[in-house]
Amino acid sequence: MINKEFLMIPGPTPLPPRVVAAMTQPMINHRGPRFKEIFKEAIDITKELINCSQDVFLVPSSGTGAMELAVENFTQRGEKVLVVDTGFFGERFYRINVAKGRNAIRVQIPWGRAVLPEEITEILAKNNDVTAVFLTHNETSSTIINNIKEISARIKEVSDGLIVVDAVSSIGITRIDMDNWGIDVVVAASQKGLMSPPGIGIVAASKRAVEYALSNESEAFYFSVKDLKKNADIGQPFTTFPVSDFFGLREGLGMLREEGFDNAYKRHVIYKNLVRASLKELNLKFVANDNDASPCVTGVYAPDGIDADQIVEHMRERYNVEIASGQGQLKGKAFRIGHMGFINSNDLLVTIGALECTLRDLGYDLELGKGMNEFLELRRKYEV
Amino acid sequence: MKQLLLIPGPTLVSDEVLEALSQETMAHTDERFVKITSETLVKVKALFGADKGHPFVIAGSGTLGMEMSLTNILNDKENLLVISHGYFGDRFIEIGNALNVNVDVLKAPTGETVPIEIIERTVKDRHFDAITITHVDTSTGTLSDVEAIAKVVHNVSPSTLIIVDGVCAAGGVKELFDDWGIDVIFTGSQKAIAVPPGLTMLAFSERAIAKRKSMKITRTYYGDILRWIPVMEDPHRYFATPAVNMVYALNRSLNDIFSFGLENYFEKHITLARRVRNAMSITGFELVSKNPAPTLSVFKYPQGISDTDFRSKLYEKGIVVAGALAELQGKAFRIGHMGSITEDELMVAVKKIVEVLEGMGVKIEKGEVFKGFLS
Repeated sequence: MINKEFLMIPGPTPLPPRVVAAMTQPMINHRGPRFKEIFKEAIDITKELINCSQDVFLVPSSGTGAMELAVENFTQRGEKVLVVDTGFFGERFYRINVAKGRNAIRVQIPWGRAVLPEEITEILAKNNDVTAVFLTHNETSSTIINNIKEISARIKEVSDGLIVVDAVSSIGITRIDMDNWGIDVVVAASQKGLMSPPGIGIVAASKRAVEYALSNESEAFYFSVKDLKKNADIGQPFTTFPVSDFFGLREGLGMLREEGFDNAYKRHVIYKNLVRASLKELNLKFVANDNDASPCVTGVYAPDGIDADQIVEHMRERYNVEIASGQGQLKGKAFRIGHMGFINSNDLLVTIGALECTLRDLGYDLELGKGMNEFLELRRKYEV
Repeated sequence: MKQLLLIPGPTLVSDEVLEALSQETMAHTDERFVKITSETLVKVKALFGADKGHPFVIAGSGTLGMEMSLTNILNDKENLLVISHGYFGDRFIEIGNALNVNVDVLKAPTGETVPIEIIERTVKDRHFDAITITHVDTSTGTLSDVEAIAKVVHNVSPSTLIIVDGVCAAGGVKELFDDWGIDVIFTGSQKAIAVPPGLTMLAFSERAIAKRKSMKITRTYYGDILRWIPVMEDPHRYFATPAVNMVYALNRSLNDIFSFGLENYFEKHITLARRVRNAMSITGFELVSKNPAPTLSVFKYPQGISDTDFRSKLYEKGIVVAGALAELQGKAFRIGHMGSITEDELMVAVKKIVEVLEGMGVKIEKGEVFKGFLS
């Protein structure tokens, strides 16, 4: 078969041709007028996207670096923080806090469901000295989405701690409304819903979060909000910026705005519905329950007797579709289908078809086309 | 108009490297990407002359590498000696201060280098846990004699760890991590290696890693080498998402550099530097540095030439050079001659510099300038 590949993982995601073309423009001076102009454009679109009236900072790093930046600048050593752990990346926020000497308490939620607001507020009621609450919006490992709007409102009833949200895999995929929801810090990255290459971390902060960070005695130099703010105020990056990746990010953000943010949110929900409805026809079990399921990644348990990693490998080798293995405690037990960013229903159709063939090849008893059939019915209904 | 970017980084990126950059993004766990990463790491070692070193390629700017060079080996209140030949040497002071490290500085007057005897005396008088050397300080264009400094430090104070900032040097100037006994070296992708900015490459020695392991408090998470070592040893492992496309670009550029020959590449930089300087000296521009690096030149303006005028007129002609930093601001300009840039392109730049100067009323023997360039 001609080697046309389908990248269906929860990031990095396929790059649109427009983004690739933008990336291959000749190098420019990151301190020059043209860079300044597009730097501002990218920040303005990001502010609009997540409704942030204060500051958006861009840093050359992965999303993990942006997470560290949040811990380093918006809390300090010895402070008590609450980390809501709904999966691998919630645990990562916890670990960063611990590594940095924060007095971190953690609420661990079994993988596959969202946190309930009362699971947070009960702890906060007993710990009124918590200065920050760390949350994951969309968790790609346990494939769930938390209801940040509601959680944030409930937290505010009992605590005035800063609300820090890891939105790495939700930005551009589902709504984030910093100002209206009262979110203090949003941490994100370029390589998922923003349809851009990996390499740029995004941190947005509310007024009170910025004020906190400016008075915080932080050890950071590279990940310092003080320095970021000083440079952002004059419209330039704090360090030599990944110019080519950034050309890509600017284009990806532009595409998202052209599509309409709401349209992008809608299509991700439809993808989720299409995938889940089709796979239900194959009697497969999901990691996440229907209510909490992520709009951009679907976790699926491997059928009894089949190793999930074998499914991933077979799909790649035989059908040129790359899906992701289970992460952490789901390694070998589940696989994940990413449906985020520059993906459409054609890609999903190919993926469902390849999955059916793969499962059959590996000895799972299924009637070929059953999932596909459901997919096609729904596709007509949703008109996608 | 087509621009010729001649700032000391980011430098021009070849079509081949841009093509590599624009390949489809792969899963970071894809076997092919794992292979590309492993191969790139082997070449990073060769670039630094660090056969025994542990290599790292991480998404971030050179400043991240710089911060990692301190956060991974220095505890609170430990002693750091900074050898500063300008703005980028001074940056170690800021990072050291942010980390509550005791920082001592030996700072040379602008354009000069710190005499080796003074370094020797300083490390003899007092114990330093680490010393930083900026191989090429991009603000003054000054090259440090890393080999000689490292030798003296090893003789006088063998336990002092040696940190080298190779940002504006690696690839353009020889670096022998193993032979010179360097403990930490770092660079960025966007200078002599001619890749877009966005990656920092580092190498750590065994004893630098042992030092990190002995540290009780983690000063950095994203930049913690202990979290990265397993990934660099086996790129199937995951710690943080790599800048996939940038790694393609780095791999391609290092392939091109090594097939050209690393020694030839150093030689190319020496030749380009000589040509630019010979030409410029005839126009009345003097180098700021008494020990200039082959990767860039910082030229002082002759009397009566305004920085803003000169650079904006040059910009209108499609040549982008950089202003000077700190105390040299307004008094000098910086021109990079590193990476993928060719002799022909630099010749064009010199021609346009001459035109701008003539436009400003400077009398120039054009023939002599070009003769200088070609000699």
